[in-house]
Amino acid sequence: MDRYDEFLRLLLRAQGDLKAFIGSILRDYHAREDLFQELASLCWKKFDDYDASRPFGAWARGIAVNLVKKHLSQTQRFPASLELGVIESIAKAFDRTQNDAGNRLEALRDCLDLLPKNSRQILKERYTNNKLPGEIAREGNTTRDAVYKTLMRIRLKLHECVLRRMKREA
Amino acid sequence: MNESYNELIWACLDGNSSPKEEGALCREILSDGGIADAFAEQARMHASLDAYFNEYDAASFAPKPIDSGLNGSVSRGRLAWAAVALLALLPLIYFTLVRKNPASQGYRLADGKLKNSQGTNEIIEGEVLEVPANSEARIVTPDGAEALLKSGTKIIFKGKVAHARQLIELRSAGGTFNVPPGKGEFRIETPVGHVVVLGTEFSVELNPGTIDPGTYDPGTIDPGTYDPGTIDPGTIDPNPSEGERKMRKSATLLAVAVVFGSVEVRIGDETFTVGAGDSRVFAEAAPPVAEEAAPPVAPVAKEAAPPAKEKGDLDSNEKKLAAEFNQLYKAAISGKLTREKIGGWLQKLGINWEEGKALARKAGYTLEDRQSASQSAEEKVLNRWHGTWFSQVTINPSRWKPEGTEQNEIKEVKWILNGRFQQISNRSDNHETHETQRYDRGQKKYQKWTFDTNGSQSYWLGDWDEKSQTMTWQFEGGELKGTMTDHFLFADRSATYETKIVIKDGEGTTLLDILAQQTRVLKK
Repeated sequence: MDRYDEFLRLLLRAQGDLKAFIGSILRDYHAREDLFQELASLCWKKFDDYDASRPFGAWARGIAVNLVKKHLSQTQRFPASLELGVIESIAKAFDRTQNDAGNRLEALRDCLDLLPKNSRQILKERYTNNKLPGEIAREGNTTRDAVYKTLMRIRLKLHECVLRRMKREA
Repeated sequence: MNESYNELIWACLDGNSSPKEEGALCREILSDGGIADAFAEQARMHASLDAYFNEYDAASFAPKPIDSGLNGSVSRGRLAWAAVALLALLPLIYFTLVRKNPASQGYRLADGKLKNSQGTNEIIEGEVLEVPANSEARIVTPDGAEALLKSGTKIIFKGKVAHARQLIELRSAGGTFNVPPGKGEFRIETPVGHVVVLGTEFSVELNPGTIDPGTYDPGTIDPGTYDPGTIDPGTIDPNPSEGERKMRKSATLLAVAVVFGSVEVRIGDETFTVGAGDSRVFAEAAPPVAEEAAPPVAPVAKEAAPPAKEKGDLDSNEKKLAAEFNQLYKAAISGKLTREKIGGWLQKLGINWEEGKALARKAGYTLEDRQSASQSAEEKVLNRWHGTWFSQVTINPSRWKPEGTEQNEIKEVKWILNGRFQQISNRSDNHETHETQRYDRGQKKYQKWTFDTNGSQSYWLGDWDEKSQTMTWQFEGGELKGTMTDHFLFADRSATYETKIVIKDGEGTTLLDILAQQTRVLKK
């Protein structure tokens, strides 16, 4: 396997986690996508510096932290309350909780299959159709608060399920 | 974990938290590693759900096809320029795009009357708002946009959603929108399609003479009396036939006019750019019609029916109807029929356009869109390039580049000019190339023109080899000879291709030697 193939393999495996990190800080879809492209490009340029004994995701996230900071300082558009120190704390939390064992998306698919149809439908409305809780509530004859809470509970339940499955696979 | 922290985390990830709540969450993340870990985990879950529901086909769990144009479906058949202009519901969107300072936080009813579901004039995100009869409402959104809404408008402001900085659902009527430049899409969703404001730089020159929102009265347009002078005259027929009137009842209209700047209109899988001074009318559920009137022709000859195994469980009458609709469809997208002819034919069959399409598909017919149908097999070859690519370019040491170098590029390929040419743009940190390619039916060769930021240009002629999935381009310029090959590694998905460029002088010395690996970018 040549160097480029090795890089692509590592990047593809880590991209979900890297996008999650960037997305936890930047709300703007285009900014997130642009930053991820920039990150991929920069990681390739610096790939000779990468120590293969360390997790690639953590290494790339270190580069992502600097890119996110640079982006925030240039645009000054994103949450003013988000202090730059918080970005490092979030990155460290991603490092601590990183779990490379198993495929997260496959585990998620299995867990989604276990959900009641209504719960799955609410998630679909939220993510595929980009509906806001207020809108989902109106269509389902319930309150906005109830949808907020239901969505949160479904996602927490899914999270537990995904972790369990990934652990089992490991 | 305390439920209130989880609420705070999810409100933040959903983009529903106030600055005060975000500040509180930041403080917790800084001081409590457990909360930071929970935040990271929930952010992963959020991203996974987003990827699952949007980037993957949830049914098969395979990545969604990235490129709708791979099989020649660059242009779908949902656009109907002429037949769509005279329907009962005409949501009119009249854009004026100006530079403006961002407004203060929150929505504001600056002028006029408005009511929400509680009967008050409070503007709540996600709530349906209605402008009462004989009134107008001027609303300022948190991102500084201004909407002047007409009487009878029903609208929902959804705020920041996913990659849209402002998402609006327009259910009826419409108005004037002033949108300041900014990051992210400003998107208006309608029953027909989506309207998206592009870019951040706009001309300030007003180009009058397109749609005048002041003359538009929603809900009262009579197809027979509508003044064609207010919208592109080419799209209006002031005397529709009975069949046409009937056909039009099933569709909804979307009219878009741009004074300056530009917007994108997305109808189904298709995207149209409407530029300054332009107005266009779009419709859903209407048949494609020739843009210029063509003489009526006799129904096309019957063709062989599709294999019986693909016909599902249709009875013989339905199969016959599907076969007849398929003939009509082919004639319609070829532009050979007038609107009257199509309407009359549908009336005779006793179905509308969408019902016909559904039936034909069920019977196993492949309904190609107009562009795809008009493409030759040679032109369809170019559909492999269509889409967005990540390109890893290696320039090997050579006479012109003794040091050699490596760079990454983003390559975007799209059809332009009625699907006759393909436009390719390659961008890296410090270099940009624009290419145009097409198949020349006359000389039976592919042609490519290239231009770059160094001022260089070149012209290439190409031949496609289906067996090896390789396009070989050649150019000759004085004593220079160039060969470029695009070799697709996976014929089915066109997920990767390799480009080699070698330019030599008359003595055979290599002047330039480039190898590029292109990988298709998975895009939402």
